[in-house]
This record gives sequence, structure tokens and C-alpha cells, in this order.
Amino acid sequence: MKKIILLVTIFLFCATSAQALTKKGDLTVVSTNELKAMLDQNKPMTLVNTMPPLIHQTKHIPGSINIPVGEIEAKLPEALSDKNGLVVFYCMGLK
Amino acid sequence: MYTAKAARLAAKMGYTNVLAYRKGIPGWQKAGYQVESSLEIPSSKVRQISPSKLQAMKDDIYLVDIRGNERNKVGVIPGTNLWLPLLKILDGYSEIPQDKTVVIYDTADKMTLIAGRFLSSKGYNVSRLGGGIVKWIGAGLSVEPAK
Repeated sequence: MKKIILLVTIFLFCATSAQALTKKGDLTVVSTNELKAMLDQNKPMTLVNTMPPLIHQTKHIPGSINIPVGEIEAKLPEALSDKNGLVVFYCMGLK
Repeated sequence: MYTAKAARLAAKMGYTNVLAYRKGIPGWQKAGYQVESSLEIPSSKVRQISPSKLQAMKDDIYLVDIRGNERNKVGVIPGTNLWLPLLKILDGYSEIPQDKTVVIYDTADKMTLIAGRFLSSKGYNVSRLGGGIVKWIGAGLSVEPAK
């Protein structure tokens, strides 16, 4: 019985942890609730606001760092040296 | 726009686990989630002026282009006094003289409100070109190559 409970618990944990990410063309897109769940679960990630510093400083998602889009190539390796690490980008949204 | 560009760049650099959160700050706030701020800027009104009005007052104001490198393709408004990309405004705003009436412009007036509010908070008398350089060109006014 204990084994069954343990298996069910593991299954439920995995099921709620799994992210149903969507492909949009060549991009893998994360939804608002998926991103919130990942942050709440402390999933290791580098969350990057790609807007200019002025915009970032006035408003950003907690836990994010600022690398303006024009500085990605120079600064992303400093922020995340592991090329297999999870990196999530955002800006002011689609118009 | 920036999100997709950054995600593609990261993938090109060899990052294998790249996600794009395309709804960005508006989507985050719409869902009721908190945002953080490390710089409080008063939500002041930044007066918009029309291309014809700017043309008429150009000799009496200090004109600042806050665009990035896209200015190289489009050109600049003749008489622009300073190129100060939004990217550098936090560190570079003191290049703007305090004793002048300042007008800022960008491509389509998308970033001038926040930039104008920031400059107002630093004591500048600042207006913005309504519609940006797109409207300036649409009004039949000339541009010159960026230097």
C-alpha cells in the first residue's frame, strides 16, 4: 500500500512539474502560467529581460536579469556559462 | 520582438534549452502576477508635439534622437543635437543641457513616454515628437543621413 501511495505521489509530482511547452515556428514558447509555475518550483533558469536598462529598472519580473537584446552575444555567456542550462527571454510583449 | 530575436541569437550561440516568454510584462501583469521595480519614475504627462510644430521651433530647442542603430537605415531629423540611445539614457542623460527645452524622438513614439518621464524626473523640460520619425517623414519633411 505504501508503495502505491509513493508511486501515485511521484506520478502526481511529475505530472504537475511537466511543462507543456509550445513550438511556434523555430521558437519554443512558454505561457504565463507555465513560467509562473517554473518560478514557483524554483526551477533552475536564467530569466532575461531583453529591454533597455531604463525599462528593466522601472518594471521587471522578479528574479530576472537584464541583458538588452543587442548585448546578448557579449553578456549571455557571463550570465549562463552552461550551454545546456535553461534560459528564458522576455520583453514588453507582442504588439 | 526582442524576445524572439534574443531566443534565436541564443540558439545560434549553441544554447540548447531556450524558451521565449512572448507575452512579456503586459501578459505577466494581466495575469495578476507581481513585477519589481528598482527605479520609481513619476507617471507624469510628457507633451507630444506635431512634426509641423517641431519644424517651426527647431532652432529654439535641443533635439535628441533616442533610437538605436535603426537610425542608420532611416536617417535623422536635420538639426538633431544629440544621439542618445534609450539603451544608454541612464548613464548618458547628463549630456543634455539643463537650460534648454528638450524634444526627444524615436521611430514611432513607442519609447519616448518612458524616456520623457525619466528626463522630467531629472529636471528637464521635455516634449516628444508625436508619431516619431515615421510621422515626420509621412508629413513630407526631410531627413538626412545619420553621422
